[in-house]
Amino acid sequence: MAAHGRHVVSTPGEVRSQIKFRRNDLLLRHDAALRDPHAAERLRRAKAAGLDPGWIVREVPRLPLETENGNLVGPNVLDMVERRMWRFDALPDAAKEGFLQTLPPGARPPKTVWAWSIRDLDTLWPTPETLPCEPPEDGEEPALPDHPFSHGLVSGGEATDATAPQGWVRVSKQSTCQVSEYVYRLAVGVYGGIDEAYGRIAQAAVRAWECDQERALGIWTLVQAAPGRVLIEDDSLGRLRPICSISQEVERSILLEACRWVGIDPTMDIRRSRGRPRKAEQTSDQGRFLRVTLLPDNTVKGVFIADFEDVREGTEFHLLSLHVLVSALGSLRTGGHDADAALLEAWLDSAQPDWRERISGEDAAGGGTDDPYEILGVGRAAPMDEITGAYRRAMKAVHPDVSGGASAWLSRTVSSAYRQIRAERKETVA
Amino acid sequence: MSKDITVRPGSGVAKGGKPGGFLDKIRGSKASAPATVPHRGDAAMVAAAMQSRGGRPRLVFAVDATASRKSAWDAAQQTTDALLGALPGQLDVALAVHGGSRIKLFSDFTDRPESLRTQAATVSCEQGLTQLVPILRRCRDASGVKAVVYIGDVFEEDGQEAEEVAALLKLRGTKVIVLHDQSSGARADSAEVFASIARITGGAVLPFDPDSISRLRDILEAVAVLAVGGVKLLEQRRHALPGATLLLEHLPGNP
Repeated sequence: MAAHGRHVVSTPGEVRSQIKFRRNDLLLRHDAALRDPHAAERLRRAKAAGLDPGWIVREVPRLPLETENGNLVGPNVLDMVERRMWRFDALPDAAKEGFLQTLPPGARPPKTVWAWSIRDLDTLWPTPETLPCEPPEDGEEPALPDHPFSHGLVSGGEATDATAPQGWVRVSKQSTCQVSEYVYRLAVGVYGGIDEAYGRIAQAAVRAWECDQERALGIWTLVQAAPGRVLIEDDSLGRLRPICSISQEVERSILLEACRWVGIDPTMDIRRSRGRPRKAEQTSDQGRFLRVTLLPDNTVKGVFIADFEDVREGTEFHLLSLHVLVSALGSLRTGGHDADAALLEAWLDSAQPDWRERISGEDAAGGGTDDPYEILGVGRAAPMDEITGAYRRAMKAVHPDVSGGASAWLSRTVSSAYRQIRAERKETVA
Repeated sequence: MSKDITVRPGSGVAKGGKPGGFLDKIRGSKASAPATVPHRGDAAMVAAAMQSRGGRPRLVFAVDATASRKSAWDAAQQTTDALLGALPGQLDVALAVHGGSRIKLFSDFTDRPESLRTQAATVSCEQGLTQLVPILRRCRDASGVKAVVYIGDVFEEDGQEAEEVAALLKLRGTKVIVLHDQSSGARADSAEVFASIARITGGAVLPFDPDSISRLRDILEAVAVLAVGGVKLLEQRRHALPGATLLLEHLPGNP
């Protein structure tokens, strides 16, 4: 097949898996005899080489050609359209005129253009030097090929009952494509098994072939209608052009599917932006005792980076009570640590905009809530066994396995509340 | 930390006395840092904390005084009083002006209107590129700046640098209010940078009209109140301040 390269980009040593499948093909219908234009020359050379002149085929009755084993052989639609670069001067006059009309007045045509044309059926025959087989040795008759045409320019298959466009015959044939080992494994993962992956890859290949056939058929129709039967390419033709690399098209469709499967937008540009890489995305500022960081959601995280009074290094602001933070702010300010104080105050303003009111309110109300009953979440008149139950539930919840690093302080708070209630009620501490 | 919890005894407890709320917060939390034993802060320290920065809150009034900005600069000069008149004695203001591709003036912080007027009178417009980023850096280095109000029409510097300094201002609790003059034609890229500075710092972008001195005066009064008492004070004063409603509409959290 002329237009269909089987080239795939692969790295050395890469393992490729071959997938077999059946697909349809469209062969040209030509209801007149086709004569070998080089028949005389070929015959002369065959005689000189000692070949039986009967082996030279000078004429086929029609296309597609029916071979001895019942297959149909002939050029398919992709073989019948030809894309090549033309010298502008060499174009048929009708094509030249048609093209000049598309140019703005006064514009000069380019020296060369890319154009599609229809293959001359004479070119299906090989050059006159090509003989059907090597001269025989030991008097044995050589195996003759199924057909006399150039092998790269024809396709073949079994006749089918399926309908075909006017002027074409549909055949069915065995075909293969190759995908990279990694793509194959990916397909196994995405589709859930080896058989499923094989089937889906084959389906994708059949689809890719069908699309290419459609495109080639479109080109064929356009060329037939083009002035001088030469279709000069412009940008609008881009999507109509056959892809001509089925294996890569199949790999592409599997990779797209895999992207969708893991939730990646396959059109996303993942190249790094040009130029100097961006600095760390998080901005932070620090004083001597604490550091604040602006998170991507525009909230601020604060942490002590050194022990300060009762607060240990590594403690995050939001784990501390408002009173501890405000007291620390006062100490920082009176201690002359202005940068730390400014950052902590800004954090409080941003995280708890009403912190001043809350502090003044609590001060006015006579202070905080170290009430052991509130900590355990029980009523002041609750019987002791209810309090014990609440304490046990709380201790279960603050077990290190459940709450991580906070548990030491939490369990201490809960047990001291429990102890306090027992002491107040003069219960014996077990 | 996946959840924000306050682990002060009592503060996380449901008022009804049900243990559920407190325990749920414990279960829902994954503390990564060793928590310390909190206790009630010393009253004196709390009192010290309540006083803001030991001094008055500060505001920087920054103006683009490049060649095309004559009318805006005139308007700005006539309205400096508004910043100090809104809450007399509670705010210090500095004037920052760029023109001729440099900072032409970054005055001392003062609460005296006549001092601002005198300093403003020494500056005239000069052609050059904008210098907002250097001004914002200076604002960050001066401690206690609660708000920067900037009048400008275009932004001709590195947008990424602007975002970086905006992030630093946010960490210092400084809000940037941009009064964007679009009378000479709007430029989308400038508007984008101004919007992102405002978003990061928790400030706002407001349209600016150099012909409406009284409107500018209203806005500056509102910004002064914001610098002293934050959004809360602004909300309390919104009936007395014509510019408060407008500013509140543009601040985040007030769609």
